[in-house]
Amino acid sequence: MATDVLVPPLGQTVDRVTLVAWYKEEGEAVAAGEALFAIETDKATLDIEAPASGVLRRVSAQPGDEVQVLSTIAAIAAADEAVDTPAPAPVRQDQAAPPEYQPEAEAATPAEALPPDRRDRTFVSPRARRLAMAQDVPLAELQPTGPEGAIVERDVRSYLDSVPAADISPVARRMATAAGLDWRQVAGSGPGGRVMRQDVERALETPRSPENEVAETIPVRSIRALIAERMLRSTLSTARVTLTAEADATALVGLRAELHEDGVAVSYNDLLLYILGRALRDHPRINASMEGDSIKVWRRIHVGLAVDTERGLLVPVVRDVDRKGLAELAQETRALAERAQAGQNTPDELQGGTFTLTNLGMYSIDAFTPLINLPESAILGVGRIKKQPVFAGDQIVARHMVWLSLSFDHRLVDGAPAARFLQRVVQLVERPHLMMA
Amino acid sequence: MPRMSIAEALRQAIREEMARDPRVFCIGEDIGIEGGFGGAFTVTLGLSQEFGHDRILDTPISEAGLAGVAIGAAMAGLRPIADVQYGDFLFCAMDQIANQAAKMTYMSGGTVKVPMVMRVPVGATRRGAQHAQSLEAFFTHLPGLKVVAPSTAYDAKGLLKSAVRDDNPVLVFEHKLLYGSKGPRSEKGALSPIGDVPEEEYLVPIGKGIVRREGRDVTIVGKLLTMYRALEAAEQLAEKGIEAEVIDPRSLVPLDKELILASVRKTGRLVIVEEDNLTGGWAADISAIVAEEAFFWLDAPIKRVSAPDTPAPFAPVMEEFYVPSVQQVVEAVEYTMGEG
Repeated sequence: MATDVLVPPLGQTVDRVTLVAWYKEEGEAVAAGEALFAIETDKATLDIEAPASGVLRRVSAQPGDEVQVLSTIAAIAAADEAVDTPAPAPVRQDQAAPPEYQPEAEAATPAEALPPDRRDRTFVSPRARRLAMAQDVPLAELQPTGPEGAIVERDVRSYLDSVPAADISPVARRMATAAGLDWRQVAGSGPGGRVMRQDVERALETPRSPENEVAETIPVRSIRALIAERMLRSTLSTARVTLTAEADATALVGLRAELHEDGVAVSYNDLLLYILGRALRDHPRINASMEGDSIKVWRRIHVGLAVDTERGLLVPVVRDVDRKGLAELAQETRALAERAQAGQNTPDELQGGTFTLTNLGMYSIDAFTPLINLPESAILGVGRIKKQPVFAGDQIVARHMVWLSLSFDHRLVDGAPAARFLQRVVQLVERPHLMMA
Repeated sequence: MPRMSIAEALRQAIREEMARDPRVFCIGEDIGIEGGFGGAFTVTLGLSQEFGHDRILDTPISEAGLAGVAIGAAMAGLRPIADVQYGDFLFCAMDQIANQAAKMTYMSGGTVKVPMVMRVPVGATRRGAQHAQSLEAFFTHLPGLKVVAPSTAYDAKGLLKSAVRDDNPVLVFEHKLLYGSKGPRSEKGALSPIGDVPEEEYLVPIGKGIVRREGRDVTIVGKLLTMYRALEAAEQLAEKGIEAEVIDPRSLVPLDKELILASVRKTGRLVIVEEDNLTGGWAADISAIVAEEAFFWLDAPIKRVSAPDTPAPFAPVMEEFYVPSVQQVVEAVEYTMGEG
């Protein structure tokens, strides 16, 4: 019986990864547990083990391909066994859906057992690739004329010849660069549309609206692209409601001070993680995700902590927050955050969360409406803890107050249960001794 | 300027070096015997009259012995030029060359030098599998030896003189079809690479290749006979608008790697032509160097044109098929151009 080789799920929000390398050739024997291939997410590269022992067959994805999580990219079977399940093809941005997989052809001649998308693959010579990259030439638009139908240098050159060359005189280029002008947007009056000095001068004289003045152009890539995609997806695909409540954190502030005095250095985030662990255990329906047409309520409570890093927002996940002591949480959180700053988190550390905590208190933010970190169902935003005059009976007293903002996905959770959960969090913030009850 | 065949140029080099340095002598089978050919291919013809039999030593058919004498004499301070008639016979002397000559300087920490020259005729010339091999790769694989392969009369004289003066054992590979097409020992199908050879003193340095023909489209590397096949292929290709650059490495160890890499960086394509068998050959090594060091400059797969992996056949028509032809070079180039 053949075993499918699947791209493993990498947390609930990663749905495509890049295949980096196969460690075994098609037709090579492999033992269960051996490293079989490597994949790359925006965060890290990792090795995936063979799910069974046998011979690697029906490889349908190549290094460099983007592949769908949970798609089948090969099979492990006996050398002579017929493997006829259709192999889903890798996702390619520049190609239409590849033709259907043809099992008969393979069964007949194992030597030609390449899936169609591999048979039809267009190769690019190293020299051509080099030139195309330097000149930003889209490989998909080239007509291959090289050996074995490969794209070679002359194909890139003829493309470049066919595209009107955006050209500029050296003087004009210097002027444009000095003025921060994108000369490609300037109509050239020189021979062959060459941008000349007077063209740049004219363009510079034309008053430009402020939004034209780009100070810096930052390509959206890597973590930025991931954040952009996930934030937009969260906005577009959740029914988000934010509840806010003000809590009296005086006791919590006192508790933290006492812990510090006794040598247990914990942050408010550590205390909030501890509180969330208990509150989520009491309200398991918040600790849930929507998957397709069902709601998965998670048994374990893993809380992601939003960390601002140089590379952008990262959310390392603290596992089993309801089962750990404060000191342990503090230690783990610090280590995770440090690795996040250094860009050293493993993919495992950045995935698998069931709830997220985001704290903007250190920036003097009072309250905000955080976006839900999909596929989770809710996120708690924490504002600054601020000394405020508060009525205690008829007396005005000074208390440490904090705004808590709970954004939740109304598709999964209704307003009342969400409110009850937030109420419980408020209660534990105000009366932390109840956590011992 | 005198025009000479390669055999004449080699003879002139030996003559000059023997006159210059009394330590230089020749040793080989039938190299000086009266009424003989002057070695198998006339290179030493007449030298025994000029220098006497004390310096032109004839030996019995005993390759291991003559190699041992040459190596021992070199270690003791003389500068022998040994001749083995047919390169194939070097296998008889393999222990002497591989285990003694190549390693002695290293094993002695540089205190013992082996300034020996071994002249090695190679190439298939209708004499069957045991008188036909192109053995260069066996010896480029042996650290401690220098290996040269002159393909013109000018280089033959200049490189042999450099070899005599080198303190390392140097193997000089000579192609039997390049000695000249005239004279008592000319082989059928021989070329006449007759060229200008200055009378005055000159040396061709070991380790420097040369561009025999410039071109922008493809680099063809050929040595000895196959360099001429490459040049002829380049002529035919030029008629089709393909400009081939032909490189003659001349020196195989040390190799002028940079010359080949620079050419491939220009052309983006590489075809290597040699008469040796394909597998594990010298062409494979050149191919590996370029794949490792100029991969991103390549615009097509590297092609090797070699003899097939069989011994050289005896039947003339089969030998014709066996030795890389101009047509094969043309086809390999056309493949790399995407026209094959």
